[in-house]
Amino acid sequence: MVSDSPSPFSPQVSRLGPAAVDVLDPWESWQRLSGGGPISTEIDGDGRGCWYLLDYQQMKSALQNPAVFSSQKDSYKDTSQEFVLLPGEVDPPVHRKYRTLLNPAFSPGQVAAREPEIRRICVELIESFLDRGSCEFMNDFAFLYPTSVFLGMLGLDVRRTTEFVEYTHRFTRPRSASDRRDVEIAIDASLRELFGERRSQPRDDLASYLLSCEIDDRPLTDEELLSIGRLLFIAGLDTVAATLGWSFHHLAIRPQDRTDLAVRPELSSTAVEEFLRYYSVITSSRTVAEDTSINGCPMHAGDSIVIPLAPVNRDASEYEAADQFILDRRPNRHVGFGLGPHRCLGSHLARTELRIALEEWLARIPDFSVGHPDWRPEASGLEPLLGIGLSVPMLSSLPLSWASTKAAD
Amino acid sequence: MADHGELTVALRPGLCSGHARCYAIAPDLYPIDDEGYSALEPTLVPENLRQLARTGAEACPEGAIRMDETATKAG
Repeated sequence: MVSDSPSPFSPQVSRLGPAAVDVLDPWESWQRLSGGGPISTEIDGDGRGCWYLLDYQQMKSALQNPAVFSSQKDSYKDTSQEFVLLPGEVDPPVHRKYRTLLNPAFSPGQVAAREPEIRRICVELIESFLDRGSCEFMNDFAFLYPTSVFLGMLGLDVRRTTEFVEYTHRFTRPRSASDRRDVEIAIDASLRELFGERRSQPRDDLASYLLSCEIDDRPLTDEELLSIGRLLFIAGLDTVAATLGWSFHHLAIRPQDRTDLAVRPELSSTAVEEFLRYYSVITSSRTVAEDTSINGCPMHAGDSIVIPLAPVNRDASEYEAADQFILDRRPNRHVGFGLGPHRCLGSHLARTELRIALEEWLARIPDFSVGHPDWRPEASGLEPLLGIGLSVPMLSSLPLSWASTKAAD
Repeated sequence: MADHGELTVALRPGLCSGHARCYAIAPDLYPIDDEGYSALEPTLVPENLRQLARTGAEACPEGAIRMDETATKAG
């Protein structure tokens, strides 16, 4: 069934090919599509529509109405068939039961309690290359940092960070379908092993917490535990790494913003919000559950909905000077973490990781630039333009350099 | 701008999704529960906190916080 049905996000629905995308500013390309109503494209064969919602009001209509715009994955009833993600791929009211279990572990208070540990990991990484005067930001920092934080939180050995970074790369940018399947099996195996160990010997970590949780007066099943573990793993690593990459690229090429932030670290929180708005990396997708319409566009049950949050967050009717990056923008009611019941579970963790990265980096490296004059930016994950929901636009590499005090001595 | 009248803030049912942006701006005015969702009861905002209350309410991406401003009746 799964293999027979054509992907609802088939590349032929594209209206704008990758050649039209500016690698360093895919957001601008999205904006060129926006301005009208939702963009409709018919999918060959099965006659289902695919709608791109590109402005703030359309996005809000859809994401705040899960009864009509569903996240439910058809295969949920048989989770063994596919790599299903709980609770991201179920609708309310079932969704709410899982979120009630998970929310306390990711609440602002819980994240604040982890801040010293997050800061320690961040500082350790920066100091590992500080004296060198240069790094390849994506490999040396952007992936390692959130992955280390996550492994420690879940209960996995942080010495396996490099291994899990590789899993993240292969899951989101697989070399082939079988490569993707292999990495899913490897992730599942690590999770099974972890839950198995914690079942007999609980510790103070998220895995043990999940094992202690009950839903409808019963413990979570092995499949539910795996599914939740997968979601945490998939949703939290690539996204933070990508946002770090765009944020630090921005600071490298915008000396005024870099200096302002280095001199006034108290601006870090508002800066994080503006990075999240200006460089939004998430694309939400939904399925129309019952016939409806947005802006007069008739949508039929079964149609696909793609909501890239990037153009939404640069919608001029919602944000003042929407095209400008403003370090101390206030108010900044962006939707970088989505909207409605599926609001990113890890949003408070991500915000904290990003803020600490800015604070600790700029305290040690207040001045830095793109490291190689002949560096040509390459980015992956520009596929939202081709209609693939979960891809995250990501710099493939980012060489940075700075004056090292050690080197100068 | 001088404030006249009263400001009450309250939660619109079913909209809070735990962004906690109100709490980030004014934790004392906008308490959250263990899940990180708003625990706001309808609150008459003290005069000196009205601007902060508005900023906190306006920060909500869901529009989950209702502001009821009542003007003082003249004379």
